[in-house]
Amino acid sequence: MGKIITVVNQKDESGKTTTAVNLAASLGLIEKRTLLLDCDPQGDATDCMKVSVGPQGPSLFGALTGKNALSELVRDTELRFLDVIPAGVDLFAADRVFAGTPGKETLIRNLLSDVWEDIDYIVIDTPSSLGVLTTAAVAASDFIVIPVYCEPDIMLNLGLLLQTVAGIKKEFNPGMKIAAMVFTRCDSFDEVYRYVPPDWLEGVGKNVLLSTVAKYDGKNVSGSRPAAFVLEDVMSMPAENYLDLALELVRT
Amino acid sequence: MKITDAGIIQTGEEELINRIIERLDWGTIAEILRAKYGLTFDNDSISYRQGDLVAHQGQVAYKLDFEVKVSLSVMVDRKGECFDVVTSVTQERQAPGGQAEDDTKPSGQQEKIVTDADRSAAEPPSVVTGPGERQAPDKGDHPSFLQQEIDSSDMASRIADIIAEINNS
Repeated sequence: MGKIITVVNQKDESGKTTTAVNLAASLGLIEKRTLLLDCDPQGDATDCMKVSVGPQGPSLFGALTGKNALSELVRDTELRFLDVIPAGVDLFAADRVFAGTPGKETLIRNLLSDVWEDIDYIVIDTPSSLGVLTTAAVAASDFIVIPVYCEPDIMLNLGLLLQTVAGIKKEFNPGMKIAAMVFTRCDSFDEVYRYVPPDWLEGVGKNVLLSTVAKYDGKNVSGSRPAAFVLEDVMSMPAENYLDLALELVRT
Repeated sequence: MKITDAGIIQTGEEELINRIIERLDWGTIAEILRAKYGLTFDNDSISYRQGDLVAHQGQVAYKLDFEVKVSLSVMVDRKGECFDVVTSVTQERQAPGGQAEDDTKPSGQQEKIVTDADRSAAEPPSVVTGPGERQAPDKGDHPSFLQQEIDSSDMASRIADIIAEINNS
């Protein structure tokens, strides 16, 4: 049975999509059969995989509404061991459409049972909210990975996120655990210590994997974020950091 | 119906406030500012602005306003985005044995400023799941991290507890 890893943080610009894309690509590179599920209506993870959906193309929303089987939506990427289920702009309607749907929290978990065959990992990218899609993704997960961008409100945002995750775990997914906290665009833990006390981080590190992902300082990837460093500049520091993260998670 | 001389009251209040100011323990105030906000200052950089009598928890209290010049480093990256505002307070927050990791970091240890404005984001939460559907916050799930009064070290401690609870239950 494969594992579902959801990358989650309600905060915009925290590095969710970059983390999801690079983690999925890293797992694919080390020949783990991986499916990247793009649950963010922005569709940036889909774009990073160079998959085009178009305004009317089939996307995750079709599966959520029962129009398509999830397996119909699986698209190839340039990596043999990595596939993607794309998000389209129609996914923006999900919060409104499913707000009153009983069992909306288990929508994604139920869908994924359709594509499990031979898959080692499903990596889910989530939107910057704690709405229906994020809740359903966390409720489907074996593990969550939390990307964190260091900024003044780091504790407030982490606190809100973790209390929400704890509530989802309690109600819908008792087996779920936090696999890692990834400090994005952060060259070393010294930068993290500007915002959190070292002894606090040391204590947290006893329960979750902590890692940093360096800022990209190369020229092979376009300036816009998010970017699939692992695919576009595998020798860069962020790519190396994400490959290390993937290896650590595989060992977990 | 005036029953006494307002000038006497005013003069008396001013004298009272002046007396309080004269006896302020600036060492303690400096320590509070340093511990709470990571700010340091010297005596020359303080100037008194005004004082008021206010109510605090049903009792008379004295609100003394000062202006203090502080030294700050505003960190801006090459794209013009501010990524940090730090003071030069030498406290224990830096990594053990850590050193500046790039040229933008000032020498010495740094401490982040946490101001009331940082905390003020914070209204009691509500969970929006769709148009017209706004649920009242679940007191057991969300509230504590959105309360203005919460102390940052307490918040850190609670976060650590939640992580441990999630991963060990």
